Amino acid sequence: MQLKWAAVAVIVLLAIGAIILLSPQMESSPTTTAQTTTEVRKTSPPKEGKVLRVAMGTDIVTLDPHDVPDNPSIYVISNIYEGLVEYDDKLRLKPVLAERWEVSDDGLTYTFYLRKGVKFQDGTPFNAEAVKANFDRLFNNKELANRNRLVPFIDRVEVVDEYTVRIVLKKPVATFLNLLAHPAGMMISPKAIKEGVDLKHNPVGTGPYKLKEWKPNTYVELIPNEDYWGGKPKLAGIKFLVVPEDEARVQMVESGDADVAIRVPAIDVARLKANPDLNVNVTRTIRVVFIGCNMRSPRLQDKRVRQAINLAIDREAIVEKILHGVGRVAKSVLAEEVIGFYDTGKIRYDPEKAKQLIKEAGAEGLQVNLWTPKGRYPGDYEAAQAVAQYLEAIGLKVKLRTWEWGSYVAELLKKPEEASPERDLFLIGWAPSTGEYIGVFRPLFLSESIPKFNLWFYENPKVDELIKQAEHAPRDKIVEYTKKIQEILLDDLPAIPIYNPGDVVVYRKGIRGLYYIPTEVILTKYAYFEG
Amino acid sequence: MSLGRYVLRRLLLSIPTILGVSVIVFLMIHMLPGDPAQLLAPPEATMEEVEIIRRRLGLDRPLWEQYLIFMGRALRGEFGESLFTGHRVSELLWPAYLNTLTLSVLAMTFGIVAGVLMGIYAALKPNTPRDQAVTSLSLMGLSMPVFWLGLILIEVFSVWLRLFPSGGSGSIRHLVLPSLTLGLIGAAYVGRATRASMLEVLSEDYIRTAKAYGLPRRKVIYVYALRNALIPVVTVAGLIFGYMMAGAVLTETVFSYPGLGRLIVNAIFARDYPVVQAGILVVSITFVMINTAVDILYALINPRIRLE
Repeated sequence: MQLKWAAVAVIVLLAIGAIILLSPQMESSPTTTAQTTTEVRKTSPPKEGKVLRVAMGTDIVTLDPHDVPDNPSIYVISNIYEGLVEYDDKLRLKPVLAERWEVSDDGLTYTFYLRKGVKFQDGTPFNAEAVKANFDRLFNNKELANRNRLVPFIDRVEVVDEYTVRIVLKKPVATFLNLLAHPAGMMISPKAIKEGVDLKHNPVGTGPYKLKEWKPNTYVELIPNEDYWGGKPKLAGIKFLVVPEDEARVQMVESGDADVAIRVPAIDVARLKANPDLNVNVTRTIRVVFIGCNMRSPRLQDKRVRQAINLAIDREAIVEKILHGVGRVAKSVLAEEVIGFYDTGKIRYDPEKAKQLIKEAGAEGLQVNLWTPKGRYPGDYEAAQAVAQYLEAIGLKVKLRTWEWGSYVAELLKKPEEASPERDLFLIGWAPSTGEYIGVFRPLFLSESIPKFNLWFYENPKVDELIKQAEHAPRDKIVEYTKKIQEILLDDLPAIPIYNPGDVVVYRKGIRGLYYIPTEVILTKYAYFEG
Repeated sequence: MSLGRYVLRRLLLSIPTILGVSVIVFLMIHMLPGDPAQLLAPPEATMEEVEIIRRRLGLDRPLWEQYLIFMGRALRGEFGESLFTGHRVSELLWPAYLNTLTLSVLAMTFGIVAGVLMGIYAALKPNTPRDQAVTSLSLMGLSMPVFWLGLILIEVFSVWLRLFPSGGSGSIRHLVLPSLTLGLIGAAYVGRATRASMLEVLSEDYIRTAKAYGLPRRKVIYVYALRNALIPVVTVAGLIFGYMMAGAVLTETVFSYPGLGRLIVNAIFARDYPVVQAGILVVSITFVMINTAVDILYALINPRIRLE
């Protein structure tokens, strides 16, 4: 009887397997099976004309570069749209739609000489009028999320001739070209703007790829723009697949169901490096994960307590044990690649000195709260746990609390008088999407940024003044200005830098031209399969 | 009472339930700390800009007004737009709903067939090693985290054997692993329910009579016993089916399957109010309909149960 049952079960399983294997595969399937892929490889070598499949963790929010708030949307947008300039993987600027530019001696006037023979994907020619139309859109539309990255600095935009455009600033801004490298500076077809096309869902840029379909929560598919000014795109398309589970993304790239997996957990790095089919790219990001200090908390009023906390944390151990080496010790409020970075040497591990400072401040046994999100940044919750232990070791008592992200943001963005009296220490990350110091100092440490991202309620008139001066620093003297600010901030310590998380991108062998920009953006527009 | 009138009455009675659910869901999601405008705005945005976004999304209006707008639209089968992606909610909801429905139906079919067979198999020789084997197997099915099971299946069938895709949707092959994962839990529940109720029925007088009468064993078990034993199984199956429609989120996440559960959970994290409200409304309507269907099934299986 038992044998008979087992036999029946085996037969049924085999039958089901056979039916499924024989069933024709539908064309719309977002992932082909590994088996099919391998078969294709055997008969024809990989070459041009393949679709690049990229597994990412979350769906995109919008395809409008002037309104984009999140990184996954930027991954997609940067294939469709281009700006006058663009960042490379070392955060160096390179010309794209502008062939070259001149800056006047007073640093106020930027003259751009535009690339000729460029067309938007709807056939509209790209020229000086098109550039002006894009800035007009930013000026006239207060609802655009990225408006403030450019508009506050610009006085006017002038068309000189068909391929020359002049941007005049209100005051000199040393990093103006860097600001232009942000998606806020990408060029949309003036015709689409004029006709009121729904740009959130129907992008019209000059880039090598254009939108085929955005299927919410499933995928975004791009196809080549055959008329691209830089020559015919090398891929038959790019498909961004939404794969929320970390391990599932890893398994997809292992099995060949995806070509690229973004945000791979650090713990998988060693194992994946041993796989001959895969390239493992451990990248740097310019994000800084801070332990913020509520400057209005009675428990953190004494500067010595904050300085003790700074010295109590063994950052090397956090990077090694918690981030598995994927990341770096943060040396300042700016990451090393960010323009304006200066190492003050004030970040170090000295628990003895920390204990002494706590004693001097009479803070032994002081109870502080430490808040953290979980899963927002690599290693966030585990790092907060470690910090709690380091603080206990110098004589503080720590109460750790984990927050759901939506509630956390709501709590942290409250006005000082409405904020919870329990806010002492809190873990938060920041990455300036423009890759330069204004994108850190202005939102995080200017007193007028309360109640926004000055989450520590830090008010220092001296710092306010220095930040405003630094924004107009001459380009070759930036660090002279930003050095002073970083020295004060690392002495006052409203926000204690802990680490710069890294990012792990895994892709299958044979893929070339994939770049990772330290602003946490993966650039796929130059990618191709090796022939 | 005729079947038609009964169904009509049940459906009418469900309207207050669904309205109640809609009010509770609306209040709960709005009471959650967190502000979609803040989550949507880029970090560098000023308070003024966040306020502009809030107004654009209609979140500055009083709560009752927002509720009436939502329900007014819902009655016309329109749920507004996602606060985040700007897609029409119906455009997001229906594909996800159909995906989850397909997955649940497949998983449920697998769960019922496997569960009922296992339950009968165990009940025929209670307290023997084979009964214990089935019982421990179903206990394993109940206690195994879906997440873990799903990842194991992907590792074995996608990464090693390369038989099925590791995730996504669009073909029958994409459905195998997720419906197996989801169905195993259903099978475990159904198996246990079948075993228990089968044991009870098999000790009834009429079964003994039937056996004594000399009817073939097969006929006694599969016709006389099973039919009565299935009644509690239908209840369990109905409940699990409802649970799958809303609670397949873990399975959907592991397999990157664009279903309803994932849609709703993502929307909750993003505070995408219209999507959450519409999603839960649709789930609760489905739940009510499954319950009604279960009651009707009772009567079909066992005519002694009257529809009242």
